[in-house]
Amino acid sequence: MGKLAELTFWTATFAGGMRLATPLIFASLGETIAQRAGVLNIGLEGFMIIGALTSLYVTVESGIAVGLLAGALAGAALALLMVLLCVRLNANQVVVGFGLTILGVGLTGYIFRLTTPLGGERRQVNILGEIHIPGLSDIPFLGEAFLSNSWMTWLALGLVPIVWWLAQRTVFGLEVRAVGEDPDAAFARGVNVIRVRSIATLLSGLMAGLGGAAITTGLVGVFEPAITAGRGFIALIVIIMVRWSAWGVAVGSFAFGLADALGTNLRNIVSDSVPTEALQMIPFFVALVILVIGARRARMPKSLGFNYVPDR
Amino acid sequence: MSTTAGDATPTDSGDTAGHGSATGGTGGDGDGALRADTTFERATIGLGTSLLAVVGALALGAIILAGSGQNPLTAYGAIIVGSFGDWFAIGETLARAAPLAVVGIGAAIALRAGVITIGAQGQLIAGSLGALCAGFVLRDVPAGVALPLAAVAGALFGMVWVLIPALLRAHLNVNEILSTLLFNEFAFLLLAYLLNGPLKEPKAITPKSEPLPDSVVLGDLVASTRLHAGVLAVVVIVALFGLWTRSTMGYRYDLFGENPRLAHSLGIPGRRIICNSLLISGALAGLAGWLQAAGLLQRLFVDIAEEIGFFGLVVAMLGGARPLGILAAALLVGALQAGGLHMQATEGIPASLSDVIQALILLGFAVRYAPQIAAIARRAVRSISESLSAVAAWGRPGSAPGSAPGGSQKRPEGS
Amino acid sequence: MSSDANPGIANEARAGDAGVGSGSISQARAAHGIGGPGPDHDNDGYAAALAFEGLGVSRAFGATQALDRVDFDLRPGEIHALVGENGAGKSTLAKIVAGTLRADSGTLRLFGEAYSPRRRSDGSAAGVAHVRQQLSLVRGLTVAQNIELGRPRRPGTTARRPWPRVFNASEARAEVERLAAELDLSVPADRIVDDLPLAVRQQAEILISLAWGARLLILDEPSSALGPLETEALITLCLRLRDEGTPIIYISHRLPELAELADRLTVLRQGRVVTAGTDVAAADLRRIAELMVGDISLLEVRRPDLELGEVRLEADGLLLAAEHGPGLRDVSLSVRAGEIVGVVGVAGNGQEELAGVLTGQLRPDAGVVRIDGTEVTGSPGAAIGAGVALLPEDRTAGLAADFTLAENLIARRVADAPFARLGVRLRAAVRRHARALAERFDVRPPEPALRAGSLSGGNQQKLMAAREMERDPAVLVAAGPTKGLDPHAGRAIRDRCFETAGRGGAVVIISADLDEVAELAQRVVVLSGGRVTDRFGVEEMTSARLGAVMAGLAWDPSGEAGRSPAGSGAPGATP
Repeated sequence: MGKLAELTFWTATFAGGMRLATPLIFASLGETIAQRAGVLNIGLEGFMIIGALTSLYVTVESGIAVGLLAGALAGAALALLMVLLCVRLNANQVVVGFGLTILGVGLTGYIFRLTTPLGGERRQVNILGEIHIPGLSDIPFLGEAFLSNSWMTWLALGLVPIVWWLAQRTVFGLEVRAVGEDPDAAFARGVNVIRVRSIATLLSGLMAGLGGAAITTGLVGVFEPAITAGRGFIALIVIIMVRWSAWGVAVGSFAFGLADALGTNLRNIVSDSVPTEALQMIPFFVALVILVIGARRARMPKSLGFNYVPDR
Repeated sequence: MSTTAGDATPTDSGDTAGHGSATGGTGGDGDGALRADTTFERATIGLGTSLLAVVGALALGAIILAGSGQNPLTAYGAIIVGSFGDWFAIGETLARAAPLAVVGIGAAIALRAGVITIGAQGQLIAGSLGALCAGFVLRDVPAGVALPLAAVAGALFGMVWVLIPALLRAHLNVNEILSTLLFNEFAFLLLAYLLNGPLKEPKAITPKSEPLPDSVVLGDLVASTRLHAGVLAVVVIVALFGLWTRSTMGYRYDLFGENPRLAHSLGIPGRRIICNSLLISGALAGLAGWLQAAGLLQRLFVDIAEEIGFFGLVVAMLGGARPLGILAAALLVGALQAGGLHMQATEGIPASLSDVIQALILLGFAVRYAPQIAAIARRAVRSISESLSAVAAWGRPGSAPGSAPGGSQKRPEGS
Repeated sequence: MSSDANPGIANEARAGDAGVGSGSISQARAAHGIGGPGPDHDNDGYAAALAFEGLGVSRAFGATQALDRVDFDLRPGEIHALVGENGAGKSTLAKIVAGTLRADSGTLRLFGEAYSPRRRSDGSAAGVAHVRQQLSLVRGLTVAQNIELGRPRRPGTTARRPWPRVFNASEARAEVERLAAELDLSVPADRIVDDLPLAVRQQAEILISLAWGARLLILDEPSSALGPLETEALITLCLRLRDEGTPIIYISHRLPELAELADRLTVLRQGRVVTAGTDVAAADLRRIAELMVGDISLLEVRRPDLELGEVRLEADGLLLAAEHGPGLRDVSLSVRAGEIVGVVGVAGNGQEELAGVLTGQLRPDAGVVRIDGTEVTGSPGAAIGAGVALLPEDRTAGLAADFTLAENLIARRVADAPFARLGVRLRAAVRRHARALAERFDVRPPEPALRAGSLSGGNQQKLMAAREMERDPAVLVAAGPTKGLDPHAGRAIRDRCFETAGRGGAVVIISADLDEVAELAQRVVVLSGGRVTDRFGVEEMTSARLGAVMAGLAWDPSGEAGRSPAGSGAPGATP
């Protein structure tokens, strides 16, 4: 137990939190845009897992850059289906999101089993290493925990201000908020509601695909069925907690990543006295607390979950 | 936030600019967001369109199979053999359909009240634990008493497992989709802990519980199959659900799901309905856990819930949240899953393919609820019938051919 | 949509728009490259004549001919009123001019040039602004944000605007403030639209359309939810815009207001022009009213003699804090059997809260509501039990759109005999009941198995009335009961209100439509800022008095000799 007082334990835990937050940042950033536009995509899990598999398999063949791109595009392909069904054909968003989750998990399970014979070799990549920034990364604790990230994490963090800027400082951001709040009025203003919602959904698919890629190429290095382990749903909780804010997504994702890392790292220390399952519950328990606190103040985009049907 | 009765403030009802946009929604109120859209339950579901969705999904599945180098005919042949090929196969299909239908009915009652729960998975685990506990307590009690008590224990445990999400939803407006999902994880980890520790069968290598005592085990219905007597309970539950849809209480739940503000103005207590519908769905999921534990497996395994909780919701959605629809959907999904496993065993084609096909069917059904598609279909039918009548009128004196189709060229209102 | 145009040009235009102090509306237009009805066209004799001209415009919706070979024109610098009842085709014509709808046939010219907009954005790019009844500002955003949302490209520019386009908040704010100063309006740039009163929202929308370079305004029923003073302000604004050269198509059915405002007037009935371009100054308004309706009996008030009985509805000291608007601040009200009380006020002054509290749906922070002596405060169930009926203003709150007629009509008594036995609904009885009730209340079609959502607005209201008034209610609260209904449906609903009162019910009409209140109510209560600011008998209702008290000013009756002081005199008024 004495290890809990050691700085190295906490450094490792915080660094792990950053790593585990990365997929969540990608997925929830994209979902933030979609939800602000009024599209509730509960199929995030499916988007992520299909991105995870695709990026891994393509990385094995063509390298990491192409792999990431392929993962993002795989997420976007599923998002295209969502655009078609929900934004264009007015299908129920929750039903479609649920269906896309099953589709993503089922399809990746099918491909994985087909390409991986029982007991056979799994496709594998080397997970991304940390970038060492001379000086900064060596700062005790702060540098070691927060500034020694893989470039995937830096990419996720870099996207945060970009999404913030897009949402808050551009006309597109205004349009996104407008079609999420009051699509009828936005339409009457001359905003192309269908187009804005389509773009927002596709962006969310792209980023969820990247989030999945961050799991296989950034964290694990292999694919296995259900590897996303509910992170798509956790991302939805993060969004409610931070009230659709881009900076909030970074903080909320880190909070969850930290809880996850804490559960994992504690296992090495206290596994004799505490069952591992209890430690594994920590992140979900944190998520529940976050959900309860978040729900009390949540003010959702008014048309979230409802399709837009032109009404004249 | 008007879904919780206390908050049903009509404050922003003055300008109703938003209401046109909400498909089947009850006004653009904020919390409508994560609610079930009960329109789909009301949509007229024709057998023809349902079949179309199934056939379309199978066709897409065939493309996926062919694209991955498998022979679709071999695959589908194996699925059919594995689901209906012999008595064992039929028994497998029915034994898989049974918990799906029970979970589906619970989910349907909630869906009709506008509440979505994805928590059946966890409630099912809790229910199986309940059955196990009842078994240990009632080891020496005659089966006539112990058996129903085990079922009750299963239902109670399922209900308890949803109690916290239900209270959070009704009183603190905590989204039930997400909270029940978290409780699934808790249940899974709890079961894993119990089966690795206190409840573990001492000499077993893989984590599993000791077998349930005979007094609570459901006997086999047909020899040399896994079809157990619990399937009979499913028939009763479906009948009771049929009664529910025609009851005055069921009406109030449906009305709340359809228009919470109207329900509130009629004195229907919203919080209680949200709470109760979640509790009912929890109880039914718990019963499904009892079916798994006392009927099919007769002991507890870590993956006792498989993915029944999720596919139960699929069944509810596919079945249009109506009794016979759910029965049919449960049989379909049960057959696909039983057949899928058979396909994997005999042909080496991954069973996940059945999940893909189910997802595609669900997506097809989701579109069918879409008003635009319905409008297009109506228009097509009309123009076809008009063409037909024009053809029929051709040759009759005084009627110009093509005059009827001409009438259909007027653009209908709206988009 | 908004994402095209050459960055350079867009920036120039914006610089022009935001030019400090020097900008004016005409300059804004010039910056948008839009020639006003001025110099460009003066040389061209033909074009100078008309701002808009539509010839033989037709449009059908399915089997309904909404517009049938309509000719309509608008001269530069005039206000041309378009009048007619609901369904006459006014809004369809307005949408065609604005580009939202396309005509099936007919030709359009705008400032002398052929004009064939294919969508809404074509219309706004050509300088046509359509201010609808349901305003199109996005309510969750500020006025300044709305000005940039959907802003049309400069006409003539085909180059794409950069994507994403930066939203410059301070420029947008400056633009709003400059135009507001110029038009003498107090439109706050940085307030969320949702928090603004309706009249200000409307001004903001007009202001934004001018900023977008509108050279022709269409105002669709702009005064329908305004109080008298606000209507005055609107008229002043319209006249000012007209005098500065912006012609206006003004849609309304309120003739007195048109007499003050419009230069010419066209009456539509059932999609056809009845009288075209009559000079308002010379017109006989009575005759116009007849032309509009076609059936003069609908205009006549048929108020039955109502006998007052005991107090049935009593509300005392109601206090309620609301998220938007003032809520209720010490409101008391009592209504007797056979009495109809009208509650008037500018929308958003506590009317909705009052309707909610009186029917038990909202629990007030303080105060009690009694029906026939039984307290029902904050309990919708108790209120229903005591015989409350409610026609909510927002009809989506009052009907289950996806339920059938039969299922809707049974909602209040689903468990009663003979509609249910042992908790199971008896469908045949429900169906029979539904058909009989629908026929009695003239719901068309009276088909029990039909979805309620498939009925027209008027029939939905009748359906709701049938459910609520089936068994003579003790108290009827009707909010905007005839809003948006055609005259026949409106007549039917008003007659039902009289009928309820005639059978000893206490009726509260909450409405922004003063004509409706004048017709129905014996007694009027004015709600302003959540308080009752005046009470009087309907015979004392004058627009001067209403205008003052609705705006929250004290009414000084000294100017009008012989009038009783405010607040007394009315029967049943609580002190």
